[in-house]
Amino acid sequence: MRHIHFALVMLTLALVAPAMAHEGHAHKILGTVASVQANQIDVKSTDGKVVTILVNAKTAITRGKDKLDATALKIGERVSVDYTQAKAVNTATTIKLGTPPPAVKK
Amino acid sequence: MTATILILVAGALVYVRSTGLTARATPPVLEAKVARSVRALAISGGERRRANPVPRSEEAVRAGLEHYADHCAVCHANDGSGSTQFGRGMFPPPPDLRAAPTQEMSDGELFYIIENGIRFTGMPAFATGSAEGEAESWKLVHFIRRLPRLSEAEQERMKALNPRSPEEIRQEIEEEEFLRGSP
Repeated sequence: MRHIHFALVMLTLALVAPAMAHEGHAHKILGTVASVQANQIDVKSTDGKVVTILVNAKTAITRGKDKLDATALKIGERVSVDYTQAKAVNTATTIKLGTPPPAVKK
Repeated sequence: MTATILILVAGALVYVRSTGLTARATPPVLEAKVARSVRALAISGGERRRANPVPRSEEAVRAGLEHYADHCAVCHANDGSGSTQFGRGMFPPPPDLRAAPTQEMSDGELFYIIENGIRFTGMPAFATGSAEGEAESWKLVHFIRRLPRLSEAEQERMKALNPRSPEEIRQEIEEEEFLRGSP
């Protein structure tokens, strides 16, 4: 009888166990920031395609070796964005901002 | 007895159908606990108590870092978080090696897992059967102990050691040139 109870408990757990979706496929886009909103940016890629990407607290934003926050994202900035796509929603994992070429001493 | 077997078989069928056996899922808490317990049972007391024969030194940690960056980081990530494309897609996902469940394992347990892998997971066995191979695994154990306080400089060094395909190298160069302002 105890075995049957145990099996029933296991069966119930298998039925109710949550199966949460993982992150989606990884993508990368090179382009310029076309617009900046509170928690998302539009990036216009080098081939003219515009992609809307969410920026959240987990998004790592850097310029060279400097770590920045979302306020560094400005229209016209060159960016390389790694993002995941799940259920048609793009979420940035890393955003690298363009770095000016080193100044040449005259 | 027959009823128990029937219920277990029915439970297994429900599990298979309801999960689709997809790897795109997070293991339920109970399943993760059971799996950890079973794995712990599988390692004998003798193996668990083995002491690391490689003396701890910066040289040993550095060798472990190089080995890890080349062989392990593709799934476990340079920082040990497991947050890589492969790692995120595995079931069960690689554990966060910096966290207590891994760091509280003995050196012998970590060595055993590196050498023998874990069945029904993505963790392969790395044993080569040679003394040199075992020494490499013990150095990896030293490096795993370093993971919770890995410096940024060490992570940068690892990036340079991570294996990359020619296509990835091409993409990196393209990205670097684009961010520097090349048309």
